[in-house]
Amino acid sequence: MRLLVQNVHKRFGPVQALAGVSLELRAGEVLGLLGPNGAGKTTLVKVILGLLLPEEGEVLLEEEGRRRRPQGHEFGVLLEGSRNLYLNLPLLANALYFGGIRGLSPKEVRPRFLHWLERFGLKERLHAPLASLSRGMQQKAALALALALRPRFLLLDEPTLGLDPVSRGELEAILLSLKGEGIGILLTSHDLATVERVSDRVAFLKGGRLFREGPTRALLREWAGEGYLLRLAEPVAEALAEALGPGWLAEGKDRLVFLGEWAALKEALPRVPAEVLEVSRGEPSLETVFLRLFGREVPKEPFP
Amino acid sequence: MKLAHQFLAEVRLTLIAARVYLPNQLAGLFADAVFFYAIWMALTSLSPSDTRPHIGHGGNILLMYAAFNSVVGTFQALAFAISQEADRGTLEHLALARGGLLIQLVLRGFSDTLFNLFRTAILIGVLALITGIPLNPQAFWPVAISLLALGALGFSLTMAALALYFKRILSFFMIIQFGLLLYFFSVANWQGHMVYLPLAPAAHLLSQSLTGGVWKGEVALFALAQSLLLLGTGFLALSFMYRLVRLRGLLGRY
Repeated sequence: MRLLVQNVHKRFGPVQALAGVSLELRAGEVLGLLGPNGAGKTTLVKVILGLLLPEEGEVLLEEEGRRRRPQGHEFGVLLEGSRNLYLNLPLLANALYFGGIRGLSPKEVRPRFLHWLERFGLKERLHAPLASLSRGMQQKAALALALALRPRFLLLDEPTLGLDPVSRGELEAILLSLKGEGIGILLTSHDLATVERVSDRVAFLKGGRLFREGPTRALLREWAGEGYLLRLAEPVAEALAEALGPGWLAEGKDRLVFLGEWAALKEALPRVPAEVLEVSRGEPSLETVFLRLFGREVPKEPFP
Repeated sequence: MKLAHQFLAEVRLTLIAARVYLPNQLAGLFADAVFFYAIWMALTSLSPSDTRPHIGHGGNILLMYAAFNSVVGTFQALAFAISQEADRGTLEHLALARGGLLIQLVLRGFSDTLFNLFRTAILIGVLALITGIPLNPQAFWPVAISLLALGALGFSLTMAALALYFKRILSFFMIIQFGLLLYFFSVANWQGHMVYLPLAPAAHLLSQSLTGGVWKGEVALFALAQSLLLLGTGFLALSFMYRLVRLRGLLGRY
């Protein structure tokens, strides 16, 4: 079973939000959908769900050789922000309502929802109104509901928003286990570390166009090439990356990535106007690739 | 069976809302009763007695007010609800219901109509007691109520279509509500030509059914035709608008 997005075009007035996007999501895999703000990720998710109608192209579900349009209720969904549940209703009432409108009985929804709430440590809050929970807890409750609906495909738009590191780790473990159950997961997130850890494939969107898609590891090797990580004594990585020009990227506040040969780095190191504590050779990260692809233009002015 | 679960989900939601906001529900019922009582007092005390035949007798006026309440209840449940759901950010999730937004809104409409009829029945009883207006229910009252409810649902779906596109349209809806009140009072004193006016034959049939009146087949036929027409128009309007908002990316926006 696979979900096919075929040549989708979507325009909002003068803005071409999606320009001929085609991709596929297979059962039992996690596809990371990446891109800068305004790249068209959320638009694509909404087109897949049928919440937006494209001017051109279509979304199809292929199952046992037959193709048809998928229905919205076949997806588990987490939309960006707190737009997933009623804030004034208890968690259980939310679950029974949103399960109900998808044609599920309370007997089907309740045990599944309880199971996932327990995984997220929220079982005791079953009868508490959603509004009484913290932002992160609300996100977890919405995730628990999306999972309780036992979807065939999960579309998660920024699922790690508001989650603490422990919960994020738990979510990653859950996503990996869902893959094993044959659920296809589309994950759009700016939390690149999570995407890198759980995704089998990544697709990059920019300006509404899908310009590259492939297995995560293969793309990392192909795009980042040889790279070195410099650990700095001060948190000035971003300013340095901008000043040093092409080939230099900031990873976090105190780590600088150099993309190039060792000989070139040796030559460039004396020009780095900061104390370098450590230089190491490492696997390029998705963040490095992302910054390389979508990073800001390098300013022409020399470093002060 | 799946459809039953979808409908019951709406019933549960209505009941939870009624329980959570019980003081508000009771206050609303009280306000409606007081509102009618004020109108009733004005009509009986301030109007010269020779103008009263033009607005119908007490039972008619009370039941037209009940019809107004019933229509406005369904109208609010659908049209106001769309605006509220869009504001909360949950409208897109409603659209992920089995069968889509249209089916779920119709089910919500049915659920809220049932709730409103129950509420209106209480209101009629209380007002009949307070004002001393006699009621004499006839066997065909369920048919009359069903026809009115169907028409109200159709009208509400049309208004919901507007809400789906414009979202912030509550001021316009307030005007519609006042217009409906005047409209229902204006058809309280039944005239033959009123069978052509929207919702009027069903409201008249309801009034007849609860005040000892007789079954009028022709009026019932007009009421049925109107209700089906309103329902059809409502479905078409909502389908058209649902497609338009998804094309223009306005579904989740407020």
